[in-house]
Amino acid sequence: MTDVILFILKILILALLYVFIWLVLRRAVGDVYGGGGAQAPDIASPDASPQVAPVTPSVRRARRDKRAVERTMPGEALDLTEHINPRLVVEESPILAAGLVFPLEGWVLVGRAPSSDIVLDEPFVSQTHARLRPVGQFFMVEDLGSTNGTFINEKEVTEAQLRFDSRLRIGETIFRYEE
Amino acid sequence: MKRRTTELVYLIFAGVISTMAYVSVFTGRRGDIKTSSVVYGLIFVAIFLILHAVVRAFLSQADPYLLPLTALLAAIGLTEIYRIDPRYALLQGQWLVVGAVLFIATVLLVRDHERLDGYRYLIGAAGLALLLITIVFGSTVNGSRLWLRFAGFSIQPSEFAKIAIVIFLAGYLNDKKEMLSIPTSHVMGIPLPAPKYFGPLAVMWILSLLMLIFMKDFGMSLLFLAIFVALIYMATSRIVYVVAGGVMFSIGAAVAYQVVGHVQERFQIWIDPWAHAATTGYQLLQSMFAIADGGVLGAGIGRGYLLAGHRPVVPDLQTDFIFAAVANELGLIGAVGLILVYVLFCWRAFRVAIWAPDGFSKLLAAGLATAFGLQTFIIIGGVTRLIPLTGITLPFVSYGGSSITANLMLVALLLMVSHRTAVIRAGSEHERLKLAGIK
Repeated sequence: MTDVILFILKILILALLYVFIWLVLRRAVGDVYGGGGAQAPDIASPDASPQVAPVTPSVRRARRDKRAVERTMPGEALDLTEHINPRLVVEESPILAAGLVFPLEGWVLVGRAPSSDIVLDEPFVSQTHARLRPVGQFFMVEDLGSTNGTFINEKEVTEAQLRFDSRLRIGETIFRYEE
Repeated sequence: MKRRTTELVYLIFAGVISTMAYVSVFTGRRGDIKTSSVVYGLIFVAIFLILHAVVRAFLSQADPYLLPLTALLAAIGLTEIYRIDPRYALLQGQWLVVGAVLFIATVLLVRDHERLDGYRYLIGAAGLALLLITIVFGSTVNGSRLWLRFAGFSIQPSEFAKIAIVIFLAGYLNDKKEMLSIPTSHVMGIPLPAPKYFGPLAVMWILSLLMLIFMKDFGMSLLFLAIFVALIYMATSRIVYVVAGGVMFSIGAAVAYQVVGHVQERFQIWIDPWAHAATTGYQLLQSMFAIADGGVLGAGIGRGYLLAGHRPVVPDLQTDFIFAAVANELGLIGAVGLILVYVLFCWRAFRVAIWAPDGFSKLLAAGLATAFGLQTFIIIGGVTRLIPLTGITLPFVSYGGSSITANLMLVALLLMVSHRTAVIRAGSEHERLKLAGIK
């Protein structure tokens, strides 16, 4: 009887030890590479960070319908740049408040250098890390030879188009692209 | 989850594992259950909850994983020590209380680790003095002169000196790193920085070699030199210091091998313990047998063959050889788990260093992380015969008052650095929010 109890205890202790390790590993390692664990400071920032309403399917539908109407307008070339509002929304970041919005206009430089348009003062971000550049009505992201790479939906890219709702990760900060 | 909530949840998790381990030891001993023994478990949990409360009050933004990892290591250690000899566990419990008091004192008195930088030479001198006192007045245990006895206590000053010297080096190297990365003269084609800046470092260098010869302890001297080399490399990013450190240590070790019989003996039993199976190699062989006996899943806590009568089968099982006891009772899986807990601790500690906003904090945290990780490597490597055996403690797990108190102070410093980092980053975020607009 004692042997059975001890055997069960042994297996339980080992299992719990590994559950503990797994839980910490998941959070702790994610913390360095982005991917889910990054934690902004608990301290409330003095300014209320600007929040945008999440894009719901109904909003999306309304936009699509609006564009469909625009497309059918006679005579005009198809140029929607007037009607879209491209922006990056901070989804997760150890330094920026989640929900912070960066409207995109023209060329936008992202990096650790204070002269960047979006300054990310993080250890895994290069001084000039990536550039966002408009091509027609779209935005392209271009890695500027950064040390730790630029990721879209966790795939490393050198140059890629930002699509609606794609996740752009630079260092430990993850942005959501919206238009 | 907020940081402190995360910490509390993981602390409770560690408490559950520790309680189960205690139950296992009691069940294994059968009739040997005393209610006073259960009290150990409760006191253990209470100590860490008090530390958690202190961190919550004063270091609210500190890293949430370091304290639970510490608690888990201490829990594994305390149960194994209890299982080997309850008297040691009682003493270790008392040392844990002393360590907790020093942890709280460190947090309350220092508050901001930047202040330590102002006392850098004083702290460095104190560390040096601790080592010199040990060399002169120390008593020799197991061939190594690492212990200082007074008033019925024996303490191992090198554990505290380790922290003092990391603080000194972090401050000094942060100040002089530019000077040290630019060579001003060449000796035999080797670029050397100005002697004025290099002087204090040369003292460190010589000290670690003196330790090897006079303390007759390979481990501590390797630890000090490695901390020194790692910090100077991190400060200057010049690989030449690492190469030079390696060469110097090899020369020192070769000289020590010729001069000091104790070092020679340790080296011989590392190469071939069977040649001295009945004498000097006995301890290492017993340790290896204990590890092998554990198998993959281990015998179970309280069930391993660790005691012959009331004597541990491996001499010094509760201190230097505690890893063999863990490997015996929790098996390969448990031993690897224990090492993973150490890896996670170092990972968090280095993360604190990477994120720290200034040079002193970075070097301090990285230095403490290096010290902790290397000490673990040196003793586990020694016990498993990967490197020559040397008598230093396994942090938080081994029985030893100096070790557990010094390492709790080390954790307090790491928490302080991470707290300050988060506060500063939150402050700069406020600034950044105002400037964050495009163009």
